[in-house]
Amino acid sequence: MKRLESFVVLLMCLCWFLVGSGLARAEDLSGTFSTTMTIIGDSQLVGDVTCTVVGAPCIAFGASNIKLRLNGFTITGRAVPPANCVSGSNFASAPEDGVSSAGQSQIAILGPGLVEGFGRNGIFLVNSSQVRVDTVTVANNCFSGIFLSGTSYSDIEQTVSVRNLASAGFTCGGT
Amino acid sequence: MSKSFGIGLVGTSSGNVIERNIIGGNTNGIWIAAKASGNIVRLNNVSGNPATQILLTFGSAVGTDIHDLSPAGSNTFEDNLCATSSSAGPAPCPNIPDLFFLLLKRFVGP
Repeated sequence: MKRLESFVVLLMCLCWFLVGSGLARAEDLSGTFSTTMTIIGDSQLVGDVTCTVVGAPCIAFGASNIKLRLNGFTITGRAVPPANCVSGSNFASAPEDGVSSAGQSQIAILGPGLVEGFGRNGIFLVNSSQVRVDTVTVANNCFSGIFLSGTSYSDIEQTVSVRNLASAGFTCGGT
Repeated sequence: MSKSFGIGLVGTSSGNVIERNIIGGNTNGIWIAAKASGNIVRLNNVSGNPATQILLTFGSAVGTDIHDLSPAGSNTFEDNLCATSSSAGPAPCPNIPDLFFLLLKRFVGP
């Protein structure tokens, strides 16, 4: 009986660690995120996501060989450019991006879906490889739509990237 | 370095394929950094970067549809629909290909 109680306590601790720490394995995502949601398994949006995260990514890839499916939903940041944009001097230290990958490989961000209103970039891929971004719309982010830095052998296909320019001092966009 | 673009290949980004995207109303459309190489940019619709009113007000120095800082020949540009560019090599823009040819390639493939 005591062993069962210990197992239950251990299980509860594990659940708390996975949820409370913002780690998600094979997770259905929706609702409001106030801390970075780090995904470590295939994940999908099952509703719109609103991010109130300050100075950090909304959703971060924490493992390679996984996919994030947007399923037609929207990930919205707290920026309404030019309000709540990261300043140019804080660009490196405040990675307030919608979806982020650092050092992961063979990952995918699959639309349709919208990533909008982030203080830095919509999608930020740094030192990653073999990333596929397909059919995603990135709009109204303060700096850039899709930012690849030191990233290789990736395919950015059939995306729409519009009105990402507030950081340059322009508060309007479109064509 | 510009930090504002629709899609950008920064640092040593290499071997990437940027294809069949629609990019408009950003400060720059597609930004290629000086050390980015071996990337293929094809069949994209890149127009209105920056937006027309911003161009009229601030001039063409603000940004372009395709802004390529890499040495000539480092990256490949094929069949992009675009109006303005800055590049060390042959200018990828303006390029407004025959509509039938563009549609054929878009739906049938490169």
